[in-house]
Amino acid sequence: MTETANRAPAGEARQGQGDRPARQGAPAGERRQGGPAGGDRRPGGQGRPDGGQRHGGRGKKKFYYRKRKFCKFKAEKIDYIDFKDVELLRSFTPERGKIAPRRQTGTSAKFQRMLATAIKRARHIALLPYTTD
Amino acid sequence: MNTYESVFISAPTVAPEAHDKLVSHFEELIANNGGTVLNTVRWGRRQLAYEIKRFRDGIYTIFEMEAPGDLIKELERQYRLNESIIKFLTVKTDRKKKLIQKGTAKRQAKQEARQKRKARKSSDS
Repeated sequence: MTETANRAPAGEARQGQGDRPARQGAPAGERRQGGPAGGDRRPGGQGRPDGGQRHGGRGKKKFYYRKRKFCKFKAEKIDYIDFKDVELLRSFTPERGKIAPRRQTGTSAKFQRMLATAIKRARHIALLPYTTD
Repeated sequence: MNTYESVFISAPTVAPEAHDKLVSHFEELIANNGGTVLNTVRWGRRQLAYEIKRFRDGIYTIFEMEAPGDLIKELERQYRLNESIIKFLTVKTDRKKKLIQKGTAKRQAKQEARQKRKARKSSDS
């Protein structure tokens, strides 16, 4: 008896959850308030100055400088990336032996292409590992 | 005629004399098939980044050469036949040469322009 009684409302509630967010965002938020993460997020979003300060100035512009990225090959006037230059290539293959993405290294598109072929050649001839574990 | 770089790795078990023979054998092969070896670089024994045929290191040798395309086919066939060679790679270096030439020419032009500008400035004042 109790089992079936419990089950039925739960099913209804689930259906309700599915319906409501589609129509309105607010009820879903209310429901989530029970969870700690959801409860925190809401006041933070509404009272931005308060929440921001508490979280260490999330909303404000922070004083931090990102080091400007530049293309190493352009800066050092390297015209061609040779697959035999293992030391150079190694600096672009972090621990796992993967090729570092452009967004990390700041390499220009032209040299990233050249770098990729150079690394692949170096791998073929066992100067660089395909994988490291 | 194209320029190529051909690297081959021979097994570490090959004796130095045998290796010399191997290198001269391929040099001859290149010469006999209408190519010219510009430079032979011997890197010597080097640790491999991964195991090849159960070997942890190998002897690296690089031929820098000028050769017709047909020669590469024959050279690589010979590499495959030779049992003391565990891996090889042949690469065209035309692009490398071109890029380096272009790069140095550009830098030179820049420097010349800078000097000219300097000269003009000093003559003006």
